[in-house]
Amino acid sequence: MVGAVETRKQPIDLDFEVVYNMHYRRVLNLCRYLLNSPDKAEDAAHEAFLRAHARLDSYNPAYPLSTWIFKIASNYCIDLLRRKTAEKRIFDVDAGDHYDPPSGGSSPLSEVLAAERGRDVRNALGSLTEKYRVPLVLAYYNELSYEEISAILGVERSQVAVLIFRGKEYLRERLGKRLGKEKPR
Amino acid sequence: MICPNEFTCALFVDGELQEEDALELALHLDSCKACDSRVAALRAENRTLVQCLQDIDSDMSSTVPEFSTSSGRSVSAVGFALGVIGVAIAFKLSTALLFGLDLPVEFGWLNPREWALSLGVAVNAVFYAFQNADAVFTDTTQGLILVSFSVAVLFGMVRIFKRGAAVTSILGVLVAIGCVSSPGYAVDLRKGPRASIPPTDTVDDTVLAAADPKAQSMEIAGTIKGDLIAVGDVIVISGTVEGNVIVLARRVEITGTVGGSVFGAAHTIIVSGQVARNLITGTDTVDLSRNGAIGGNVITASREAVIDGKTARDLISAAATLDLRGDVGRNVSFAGGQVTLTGSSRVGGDVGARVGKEENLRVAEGAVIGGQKNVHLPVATPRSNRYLTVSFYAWQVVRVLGQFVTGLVLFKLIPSLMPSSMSSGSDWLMAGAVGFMTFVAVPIAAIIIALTFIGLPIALITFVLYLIGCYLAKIVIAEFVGRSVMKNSGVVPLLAGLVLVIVAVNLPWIGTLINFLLILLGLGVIATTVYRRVSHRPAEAF
Repeated sequence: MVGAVETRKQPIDLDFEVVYNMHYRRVLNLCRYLLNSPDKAEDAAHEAFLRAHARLDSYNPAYPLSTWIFKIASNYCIDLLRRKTAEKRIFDVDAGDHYDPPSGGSSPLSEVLAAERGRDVRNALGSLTEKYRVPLVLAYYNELSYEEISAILGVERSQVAVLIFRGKEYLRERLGKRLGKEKPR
Repeated sequence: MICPNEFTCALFVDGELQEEDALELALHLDSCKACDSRVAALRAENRTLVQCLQDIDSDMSSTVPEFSTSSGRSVSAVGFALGVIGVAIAFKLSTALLFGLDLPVEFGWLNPREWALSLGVAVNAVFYAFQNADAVFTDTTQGLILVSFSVAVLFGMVRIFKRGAAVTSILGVLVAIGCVSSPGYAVDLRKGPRASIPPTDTVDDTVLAAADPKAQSMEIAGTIKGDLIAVGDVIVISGTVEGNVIVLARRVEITGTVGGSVFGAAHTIIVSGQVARNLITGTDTVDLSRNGAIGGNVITASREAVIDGKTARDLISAAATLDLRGDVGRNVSFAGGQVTLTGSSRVGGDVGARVGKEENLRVAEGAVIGGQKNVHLPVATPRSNRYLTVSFYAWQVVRVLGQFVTGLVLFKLIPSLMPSSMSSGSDWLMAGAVGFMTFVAVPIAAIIIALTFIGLPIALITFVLYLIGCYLAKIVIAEFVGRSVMKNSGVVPLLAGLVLVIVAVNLPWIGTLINFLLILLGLGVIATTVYRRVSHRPAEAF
């Protein structure tokens, strides 16, 4: 590595530093959300940039560089989460999740959220298990489509939909101030 | 269209509904107020969620750490210095605790300052390893197969179950136990009142005995067919041990028969029985009584040694005083304060004494020496200043070059060994602590493993890896120092770091301490890296 880095560094480094400075905070925040740990997030963010730097050759300029780096970061974090647990298929929807949601449903978050501060929402998100936290982060922080999320998590698109739907329900429960009339599932 | 459920609405809002369904729902919304308001609320919910989550991006108060391509997070020289100081303090404290405690009298013999004891333990361990090497190596193939198999099983299990560190450790211990305990070599563990073996008893296995703390003494009066490994206050062996005896005690008396060798670390060892092979001791006082007989060599490191009995082969002694009154079949080698051969003593071979003064070797009238009598006096050599010799500098250059080449290969093979995420003093403190543990624990573990029947190959491998680790430790730290100073990584910083380190470790007075601390820190980094590599599979980014 000692020699290799030397030779490859010059042409790319200047640009990459700009990219790094521009996206570091966002990548760090993404890692924080995904890993739910500030310390691990710092390491993961750094690792993501290291990987991005090492694989610049494989970057397709047709897509935004930031998206590519976010993808590396989310992949890395999800890999870390998978490694943490014995169960590899942590994002699989189990039988209990395959339910037909009622037409009533719980009250949307909007009313709750209006009154809550962003921090409370983030705390509530942090209290969710990674199974629900990760899809929510990818969908509403990274603003990825279900298709992209299913590719990252390696589960069916329909499962992603269920995870996100359930995740939001849990989020409402955690936030504790449900204003809905119907009893949520 | 009947009103869609919330799940469908949520999909619609997220833009994830099939085109046809989305169109149908959109038409339905025009005609159904309830659904329209629900969809609107879900949209608002999404917006708020996005806003809340992305809110933290606007927080620009945190600083962006400097990006370094080959290192980890930004590294701090202050953190490094703090770490070094921390380790120094921890080391000082731990040694003060270890060496400065006033132990109760009964535990006095445990005091590490009793050099004879520590020397004795080391000598015992080494000799035991060599003594049993022949037996071990006949089983080397079997041992290697077992070890390889166990390691493969361990890694396989860790891979398959992807268990965490704790489970891995437990598996490791189990596998290690499986490795080192040989079938057919049973160990009888005896503690407390059971530790003593009455005259009528015969034990077919090796006995591992720990004395009852309340009892005054532990007596082995019966027969042990295997080895005896015993720990206690006073241990009396009046029966028969057919194998070796390893004892750690305050006072050891051997009046019976030992078929193998005796390895003893104790305050006092008195042998008035028969030992078929060697007597190897590290003690304050060793006394081979008139009736005692050693079939092999007597090797002692002690304050006072009295050899009245019969030694069939050599007597090798490092002691403050040695009184030789009995028979020694071959040579006597002595180093220390004073050696006296009384009139009753007989030596078959030479007598060599490394003493301070000529008159410290006293041979009484009537003493018989078959060979020659040699006195080696200390030769006063003028102390030369090593810093003024060319060879010193030449040697240092060779060292740096060797480390440089090793470092290049090392970091090429294992880039993660570069201490990357060492951004704070606490990281270095941690590395120092881990390093200290590794530095102390690994040799002890190796010695313990070596004492078991087929553990010697593992112990040797462990020890070699340990030495390699100690050598690589400074290179790892040098790479970090070079990178921190030059704010760059690569060949030149590595070389610069190595030069700085070699200068530092050669400084007069403090060089040795710096050397030691750097080894500790480097070992810590290496141990942590190895642990991480073993406990985690490499992550895939894509």
